[in-house]
Amino acid sequence: MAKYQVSDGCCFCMECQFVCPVGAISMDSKGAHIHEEKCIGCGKCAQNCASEAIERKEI
Amino acid sequence: MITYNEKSIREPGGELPVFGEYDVIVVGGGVAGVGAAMAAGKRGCKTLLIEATSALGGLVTMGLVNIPLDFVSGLGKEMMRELDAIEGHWHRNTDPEKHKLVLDRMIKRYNVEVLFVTSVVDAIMEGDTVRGVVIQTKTGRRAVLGKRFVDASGDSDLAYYAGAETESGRPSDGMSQACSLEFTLGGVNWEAYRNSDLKKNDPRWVKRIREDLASGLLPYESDNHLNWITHLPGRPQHCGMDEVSICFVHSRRCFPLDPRDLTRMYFEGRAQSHMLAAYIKKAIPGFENSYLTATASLLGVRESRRIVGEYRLTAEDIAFTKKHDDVIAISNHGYDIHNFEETGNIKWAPIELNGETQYVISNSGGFGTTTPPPDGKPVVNCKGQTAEFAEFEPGLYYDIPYRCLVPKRVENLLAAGRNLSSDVYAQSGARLILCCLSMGEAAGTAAAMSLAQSITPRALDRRALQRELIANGCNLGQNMREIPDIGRGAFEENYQNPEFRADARVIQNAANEFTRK
Repeated sequence: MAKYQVSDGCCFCMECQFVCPVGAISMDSKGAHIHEEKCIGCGKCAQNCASEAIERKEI
Repeated sequence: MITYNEKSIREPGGELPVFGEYDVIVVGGGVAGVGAAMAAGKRGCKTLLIEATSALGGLVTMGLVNIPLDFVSGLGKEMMRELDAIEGHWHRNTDPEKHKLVLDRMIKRYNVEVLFVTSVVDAIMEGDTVRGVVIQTKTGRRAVLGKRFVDASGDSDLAYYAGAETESGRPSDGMSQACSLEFTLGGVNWEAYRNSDLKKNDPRWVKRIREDLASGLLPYESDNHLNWITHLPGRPQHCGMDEVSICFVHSRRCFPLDPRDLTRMYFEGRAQSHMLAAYIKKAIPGFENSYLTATASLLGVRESRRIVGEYRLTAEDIAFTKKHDDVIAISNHGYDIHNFEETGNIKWAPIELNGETQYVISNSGGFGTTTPPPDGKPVVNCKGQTAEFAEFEPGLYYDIPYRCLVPKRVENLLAAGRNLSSDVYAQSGARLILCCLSMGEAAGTAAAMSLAQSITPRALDRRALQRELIANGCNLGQNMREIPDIGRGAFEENYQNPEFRADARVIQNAANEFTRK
């Protein structure tokens, strides 16, 4: 199934955290972190990422 | 005409012709002014919007700052949907030309009369009450009378002319934080840049800039890092002919109320733009065939003259993400100061924690600061935790109180936008585009409501204002906490509509499992 993960270039705008409908995203000193087990693969984070830093992956 | 007198130049008295009479007059057509004017117009007020440039949107259109960040709320939601409908929005990057079109359409739809290329040059007062503004036209000065006024000029021009208390820049010398003239580059191979080692390993070009300064490839330093680079949607996309907007140019030691200094910054901004465009073409992968398509027609002034209002938003309000009963907008953006005098930026503020001064970041975005605090101290969060240990609760945001829009003493006047009542630290966070638009919507709504109730805006019941804003799709954080006397989750659609901001109770519950270590 599809999941999303943060690659590189996160600019800390935190849009992903606010649009995630299941609260799967937290922020740390490196940027946004998507918790895989919570991710439902809706892709809203990727759509709203201002740096285009979130990518889809199949697991 | 004025008669010359070698001792003193005095303006003659005489009657000013009246240009028109309105219910609500909004000074400034940036996003704050547009929000205010639409909010007043949609409530049946005869509304005039006065804008000094030739289009609406201010920095987001004329300034090429095509990245409208912060909470999408109310009229902001409508604006983003209209941009989506004409493919003018992608990953929170917008197309400035389509954005101008959307704003032109929306302002007409809300029945607002607009004056472009017109400046407000004075206030008409009855005691402490604003009764009108003076505009300059090609055939002389004209009086424009009104009942309620919103100063969305960015520089608090109307408030200043009305004799309201204002402040500008930092307390020590009135210097403002750095200003930036944005520019756009075309012919960019965005995929090549995106897949490059530079983007992966040094996404803000920190190392690259240092190396290229040393070698001379970069003639001089505008900043020690790339601030942001956005993609212009609606242009050819991902085909090797992309267009991007770049924040890299900086003018320092700024006094943006001084026309000589503004002029200096436009000369300097364009010179830096050309220098940087040439450098980027040589140095940055994906930009080999790029060329300068535009420099902004409006200088990116981040901070200038602010009103001193019934409440002054401070660094502490942001550090502790404080909530206020009279919230009319919310923001999640932390401190964002582009250094006054040197390169780099400051994403922390000096805050008293446990009896000593600590350098506090308001959210994890603060780790991106390129200027470390003085005394070799580390940045910490509001609990005093350093980077390795810092926990940030998800869904953090702070309130913009109504009182930050209400100037002291002067009646019938509200401020909205980057000129809210604040210190330089709080202002650096609250100044983002969509927060300004939300402030504008609140101010225009309050102007209309106070007029309907025949009271000064200062006396408006914040609960009535909040209910009205929430009923019109605004996000005051009502789904994320209880606003006194308003309740929690007062706006049902927020729960049902997944396109709106996520229900942060869900975020909070889910995050509890992850962030408590």
